Amino acid sequence: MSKLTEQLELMGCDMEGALNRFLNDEEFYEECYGDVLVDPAFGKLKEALEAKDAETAFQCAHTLKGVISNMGLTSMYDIIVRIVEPLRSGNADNLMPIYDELMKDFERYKALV
Amino acid sequence: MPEISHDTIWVIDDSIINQKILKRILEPYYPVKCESDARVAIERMHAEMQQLGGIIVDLHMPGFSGLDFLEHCHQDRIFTDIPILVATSEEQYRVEKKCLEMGAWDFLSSPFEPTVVRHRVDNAMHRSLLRHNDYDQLTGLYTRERFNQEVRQILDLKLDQQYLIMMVDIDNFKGYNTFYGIEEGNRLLRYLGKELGDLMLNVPQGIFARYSADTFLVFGPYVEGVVERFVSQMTTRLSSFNSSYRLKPSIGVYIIEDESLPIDMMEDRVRLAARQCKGKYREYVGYYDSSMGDSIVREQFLVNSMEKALKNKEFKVYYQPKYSLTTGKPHGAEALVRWQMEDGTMVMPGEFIPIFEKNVSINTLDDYVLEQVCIHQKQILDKGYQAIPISVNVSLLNLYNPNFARKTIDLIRSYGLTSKHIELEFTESAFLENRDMILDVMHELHEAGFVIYMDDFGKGSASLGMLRDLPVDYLKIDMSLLPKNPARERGGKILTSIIRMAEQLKLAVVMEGVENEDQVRFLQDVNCDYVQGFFFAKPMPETEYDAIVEAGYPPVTLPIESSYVTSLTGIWSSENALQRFFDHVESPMLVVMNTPSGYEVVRTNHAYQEQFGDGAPDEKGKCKLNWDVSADDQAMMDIEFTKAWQTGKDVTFSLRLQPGEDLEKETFWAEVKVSPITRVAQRVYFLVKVENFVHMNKEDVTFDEECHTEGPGLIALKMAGVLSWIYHPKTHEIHQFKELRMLYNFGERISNVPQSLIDLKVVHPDDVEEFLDVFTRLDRGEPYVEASLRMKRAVTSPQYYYVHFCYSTQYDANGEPERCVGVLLETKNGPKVAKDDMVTIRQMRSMTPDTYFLCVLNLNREIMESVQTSVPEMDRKLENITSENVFEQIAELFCTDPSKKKQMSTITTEMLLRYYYKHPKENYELSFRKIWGATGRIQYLALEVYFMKNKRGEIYAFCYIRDVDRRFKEKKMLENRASQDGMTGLLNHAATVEQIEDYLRGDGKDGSHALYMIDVNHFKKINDTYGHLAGDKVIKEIAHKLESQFRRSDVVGRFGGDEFVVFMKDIRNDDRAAEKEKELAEFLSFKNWEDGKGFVCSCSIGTSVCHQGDKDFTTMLKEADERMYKAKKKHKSLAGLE
Repeated sequence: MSKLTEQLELMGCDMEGALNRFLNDEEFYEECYGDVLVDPAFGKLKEALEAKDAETAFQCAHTLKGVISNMGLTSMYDIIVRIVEPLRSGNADNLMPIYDELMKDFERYKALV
Repeated sequence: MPEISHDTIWVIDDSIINQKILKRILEPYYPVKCESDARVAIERMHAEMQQLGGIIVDLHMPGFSGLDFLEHCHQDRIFTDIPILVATSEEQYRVEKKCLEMGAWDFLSSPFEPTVVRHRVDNAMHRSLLRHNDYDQLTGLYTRERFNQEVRQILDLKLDQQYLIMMVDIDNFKGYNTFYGIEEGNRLLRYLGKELGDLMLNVPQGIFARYSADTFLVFGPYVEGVVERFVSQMTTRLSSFNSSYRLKPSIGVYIIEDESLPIDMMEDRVRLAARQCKGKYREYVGYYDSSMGDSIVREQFLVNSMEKALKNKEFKVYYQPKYSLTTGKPHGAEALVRWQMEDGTMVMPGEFIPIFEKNVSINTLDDYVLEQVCIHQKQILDKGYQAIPISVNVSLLNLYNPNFARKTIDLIRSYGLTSKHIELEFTESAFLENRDMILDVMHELHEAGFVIYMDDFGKGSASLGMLRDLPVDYLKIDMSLLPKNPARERGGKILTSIIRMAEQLKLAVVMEGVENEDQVRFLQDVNCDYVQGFFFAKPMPETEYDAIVEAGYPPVTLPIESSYVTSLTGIWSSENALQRFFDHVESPMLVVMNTPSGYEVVRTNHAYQEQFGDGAPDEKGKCKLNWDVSADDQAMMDIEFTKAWQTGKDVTFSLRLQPGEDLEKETFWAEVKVSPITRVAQRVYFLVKVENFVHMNKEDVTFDEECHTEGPGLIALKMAGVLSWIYHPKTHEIHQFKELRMLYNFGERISNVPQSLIDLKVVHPDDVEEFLDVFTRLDRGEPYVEASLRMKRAVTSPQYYYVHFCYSTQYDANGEPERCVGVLLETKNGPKVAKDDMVTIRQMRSMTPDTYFLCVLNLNREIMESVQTSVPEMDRKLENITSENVFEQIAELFCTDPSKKKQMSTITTEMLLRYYYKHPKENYELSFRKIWGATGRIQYLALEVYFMKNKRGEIYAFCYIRDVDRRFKEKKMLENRASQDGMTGLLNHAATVEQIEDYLRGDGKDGSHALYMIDVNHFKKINDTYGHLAGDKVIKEIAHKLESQFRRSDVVGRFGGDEFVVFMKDIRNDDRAAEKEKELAEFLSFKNWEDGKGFVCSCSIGTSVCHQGDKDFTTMLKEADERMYKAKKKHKSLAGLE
């Protein structure tokens, strides 16, 4: 296990599952990890939430959810799920706080690289 | 070059990571392309249509979502049949259903489990119809079906444009496959597919496909020059594929005129067009034109009309008789079918038969023809005429029917006909396919007694080896093998070989398509049995054929025997060594041909023409001779020629020849040696060598008789004035000659010799013993006795003189001494004979009763010292004989053998001198045979030259012409007696063993040979029942048969009373030896007639084979003997004997 994955493991992420999805290629995982950190979807989600565009927001959140889930970033996943479901039914209200929570968690992961 | 692969997976997902993951998962198996924006993806996919294999689309994408994408795909043509998988993390029923409705093939759930993803994609790709119906697996091109759809679509657009379809066929593709292997062949096809794609890239409305194994289709607009450009491109690209193998395209072009035609039919047309240039070396393009299409139409028409035609009896059976080339009589007829349509037009079998064969209607036609022929034959028989067999053609298809044999046999029998009336012809190509099945049918028919022909032999590619196994009776050689002038064309030689081969295989031959006289003559020469063709008879309708039947099958007049030039090509060609030998040999030789109509001289050599002045061929190639065989000798000549042919051995005999027209010429005797050469058709060819010839001379009679009785030497002695006595050992009498009596007056006849002379005290007392000894030896039969004695000249004279005696014995027919001729010489200087006298002594010594001529030549001075002859003719010429011409003269007189004559007349004193120096102790001898003009008697004579040096060192040659007949004949007799079996002329037991053992030890020690022990079955019984003479006849017959079955080099001997041994040298293999045993057993089984009763003779045979000298004679004999006994026992038990 590399430094990154070790640390993620310590943060409560299921690295074994995640690595499996990345064909057990640590380098590949790290590469994609980097991509996640700069994924524009985060920004787009924010914009959509601010614009109260539930549909767009849903799409972004949904995409992010998939990505985060793929990466095995458990804590982030738990948060984004709380954004996705309301958006599915078209409700964009009161989601900004959860978004902030998400981004705070995001920082933790960002700090690892 | 764009790849037509249809295997690229497009990943459409707005998440880079997902793209990456999916790409990572699928990359090892498929090419992957990623795109975040679905709309952009659609554009890109359009551009790369040929590679598009499958799509993975994310359901949830901002803007244009997965569902939107699906909806689009539903409409967009290019996505028909492309697998689309939807990637989603939702598995809500709602969404799923909608996706599926929209055409999604499967789902991929996020997060992606790599193996699951892979499997689902794999499955989807597999299911993709793309890969089966529309695209060819190997090349990736459209399939024919897809091509047709596409083309139809474009045509339906009814754009104002003319189109064409081209078919590209690779001429020698199968060869390429075979040569380089299937993988390489496939590589070629893929290459072609790519090249086509490349060519068509910029052709709007251009559609191309793989039509079949090695054929491609191209559709496109027809513009000027398009075909030429296309052909040129295709040819170039094809030839640059493999430089060591020339690949040629055949391109068919069909310019579409009627667009409503089904595409399939258009393809049929273009295929016909392509066929035009297939196999034609330089033709690459073939254009379809309506006549080609017409043939398809016609084909269809004929097929459709057949049933009606059968009902209306539009099919008529024609008959074409086959003729025997030996007798000119019809030997059978072939039934041929003709189609006369209602409107009167005739359809030739060449046209409708292949069509019917293709359409499996041929069976019906065959059955119909067979039935018609049966009906016709029955009619003939009912009318009371003889029916010769009619052969019916059976098509290949019928042979596939296992019931065919039964069906046919039943049909024929139902008309009361037998295999004598109907024969069957199978075409050569039938034998190529499914041999085993066909063999069964053929055997069934054969066993039922039917005669089978192999038709069209030589037309196709049947192997000659097939003939070995097939139960075929006749071979019908296809007319394509018969050149217009076979004697002059190479094809004639091929034909000859085929006919010879057929002969060997015991197949009778029918030559088809005989049209002119040259062909007929040629076929006669090469022993062709039967012919069929316009020259003899055209195929004729029933009524005409009936006319022939009712006329009793009259024979056709065959052309008279061909020119000799033609016949000789059967024996030798002008470049042959045999020809050269023939022309240059010194003896006169002729090639004589014997035919049923008599003997003809075919050719003579130069020696003959020089000698006789005739025999040169005239402008027609015939040799005319100026003499005929005398009537008295013709029968004898026939017997001798026949003997030569039957035994295969040379025969020598003499016969009288009379001048043809020139009565000035005298009859003469010729001694000839006849060697059989070969047989061609009914002609037997012999080589005749004239060994001796002489004009018939009545004077010769007297001379001959005199010489033969008194002995020529005697006469010579008489004439030479040399004193001589004749002593008769049987009566002990001496006859004196007049001349001698004058000197030695002992009376004309002295009896009780030698005692009486001793009593008369004529001999000196000291020499009495020696005198007695001389006569004792002569009484014993010694050939030559010499003595030196003292004798009185007269009884009353007191004086003894030294004399030298030389006595030579003549024998009678039994070899007993009959007469001794003695020569007396008074030696003046005492007992020792003076050297000068040596010459005379020499003369005396050699002047034996069997000398015809003597001359003494002084070789150094080239003078003739003395010459004497007992031949009256020669005597007259003695004055003119000199040392220069002596040999010429004696050659002329004594030598009737032309080649020896030539040799003798070239002898000169110089030559003899040289000979002496080279071989001082040897005599020069030249023996030859003389034929006596008066009686035709052959006698062995010899020129013997003895050399002697006189005291001055000069070399003398004593040249004698002597009778060596007895010597030669005795020698021969002894030789033969020693090794010959008296009754049969075969080798006797001892000689057989000796020859075989010698061979096994010598030349044959490394080879493989066979020994046959042959024993006559029940020989004792034959002797007891029919008598010993009958038994002897059987033995002689068997001996004769054996001789004819083996080569001259093989050893054939009579081993015992009824036992024979044959040693066959150098067998090819054991099977051959076994075969020969079987052949022999058959051959040696024959019927014999004695007193009107017939009995069968047969032999038991045992074989032993040796290889590389692994067995000696004794072992082989034992083995063969044992096996023979086994065979004998078997025979006995079979015959029901004890």
